[in-house]
Amino acid sequence: MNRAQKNAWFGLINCLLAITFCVFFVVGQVFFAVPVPGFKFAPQPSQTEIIVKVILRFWPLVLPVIALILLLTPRKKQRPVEPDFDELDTAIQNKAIRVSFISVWFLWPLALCITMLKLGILGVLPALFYFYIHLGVFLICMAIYFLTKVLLYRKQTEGPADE
Amino acid sequence: MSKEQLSNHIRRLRFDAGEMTQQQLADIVGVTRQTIIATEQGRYAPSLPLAIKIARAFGKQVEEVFQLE
Repeated sequence: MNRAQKNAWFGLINCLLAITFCVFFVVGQVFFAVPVPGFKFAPQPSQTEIIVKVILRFWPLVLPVIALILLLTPRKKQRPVEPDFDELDTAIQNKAIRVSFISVWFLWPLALCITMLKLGILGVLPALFYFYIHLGVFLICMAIYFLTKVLLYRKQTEGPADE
Repeated sequence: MSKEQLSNHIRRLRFDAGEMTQQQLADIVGVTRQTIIATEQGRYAPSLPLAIKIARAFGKQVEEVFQLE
């Protein structure tokens, strides 16, 4: 398994974890949580309350941020001669980008249609949920991207490796 | 129109060259072992520069290593 392949697995696991956290968060908000206060008559919150609210509402973002930091952290190579990325990795990456880009064509309209059908044409939704709808679509597309990479690596490099 | 496929003799040439391993060939041509595995099994058609490098590693012409079927 080369470095690009390990990164694909790492990315896939992180995306799936982030999706799980987002689902828990949205389900928690919809079914159990504190209602979002009315915009017009809500009392002005203090600085601490704002910070606490922001942390409570955006904590699922912590995972992708940690993943990004870990991905960008330089690691020691197992074999110094071996390149990090070569033309097979580029070919696999291009295919994965194409697949995930095409998935956006279906996922985005699907997410918006489901929301509209659920709420009705004149229904309203707190802005926070728009953020999570788009973040959800983005994370699913990223998961598709990494999954395609993992599958392509398996397809291309499976078989006997004779030494 | 039938689909053309690129076949190769990398495996045979490796064994002829003193049982060279996939990793050794990968190190010579500057790619990962996965690329050599995929190329050897015909799952990946290498770029022209890589094909030339592989042929040079065995001291052969590109046509002696790769054939279009």
